[in-house]
Amino acid sequence: MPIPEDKRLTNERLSNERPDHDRIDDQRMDDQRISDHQFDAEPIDEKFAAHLKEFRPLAPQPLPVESRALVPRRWFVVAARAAAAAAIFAVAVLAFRARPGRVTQPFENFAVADRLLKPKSLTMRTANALLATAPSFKDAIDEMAFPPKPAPLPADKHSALAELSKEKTKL
Amino acid sequence: MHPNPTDAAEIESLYRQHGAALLLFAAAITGERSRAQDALHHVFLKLIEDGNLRRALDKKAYLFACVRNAILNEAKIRNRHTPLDPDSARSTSTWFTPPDRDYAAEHNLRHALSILPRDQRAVIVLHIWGELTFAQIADLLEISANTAASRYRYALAKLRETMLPAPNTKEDPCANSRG
Repeated sequence: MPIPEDKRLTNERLSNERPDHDRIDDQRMDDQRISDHQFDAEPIDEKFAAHLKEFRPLAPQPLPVESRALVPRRWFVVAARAAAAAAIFAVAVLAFRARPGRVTQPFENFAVADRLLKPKSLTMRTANALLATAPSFKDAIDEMAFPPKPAPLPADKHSALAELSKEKTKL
Repeated sequence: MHPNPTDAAEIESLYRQHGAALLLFAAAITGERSRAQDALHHVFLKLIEDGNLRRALDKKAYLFACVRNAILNEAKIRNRHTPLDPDSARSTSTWFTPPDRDYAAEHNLRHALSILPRDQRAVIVLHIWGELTFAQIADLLEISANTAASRYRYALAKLRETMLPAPNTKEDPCANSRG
């Protein structure tokens, strides 16, 4: 699109906009016009420089690297996810432990029942252990033949087999 | 040594901010936009890799100096000193976005710049489009500030003479013959 005539920047137009004293100087010293023009005519220089600044230099091609702005964001996302997972795990563990007796009591009962229902079986390993630890050979043989009774139940516990044996069922 | 992400982001920000003026400065020295682009990428990739921009007090002036040094080093390697070809103004690759899409004026400006002496061209590009002060230009080109200002004014005068029609040439050439 051509620039309208009235907007065109010309030497004539610039000269008309110069102060009067500059014009008088120009008339008096024609032979030094160029040097005066270059070093004293600051308004013209500024106007022309402003005109040149209207030409915007083209932007360069983007740098052939991955944008670094994304790097901290990715790191932050990973860290945030890890922190969230750790927090969820911690809350779950605390919530699980907060329920009284739910986990520990059944395990205790299982241990007791296991001890009652499963007497120690005699194996080569236990036999060797008895022979090694018993004060005499006779004691070791006695212990193998008559294993010790299981530990008695606490006072507040009752054996199911004992309770059942007490019942008098009439067939 | 790798820069931290903050340094790399700052370097990329400087590239976006001053890249256009740096590219123009490089093109004004080399005369070839492709070589200018290569030099600019070389400088910034090295800055990202080394991350030594933090030491620079005046980062903008330092970037212009880096670009200039990169071009001079590349010219030494090539063992040639290519002057700016005035015909490069005829090439299709533009250097500027002209006001009002006046590409004829853009062509004129490129031609006017191309016929300037190299020293004057560097100073005028640095001052007008690089927006460096004469003191910064003096440090960059290792000249005095007065010399930089003098070169700028000479260059501006020559550009004006080349680009703008003189008052007598504006008249209709057929006017006298008609009279």
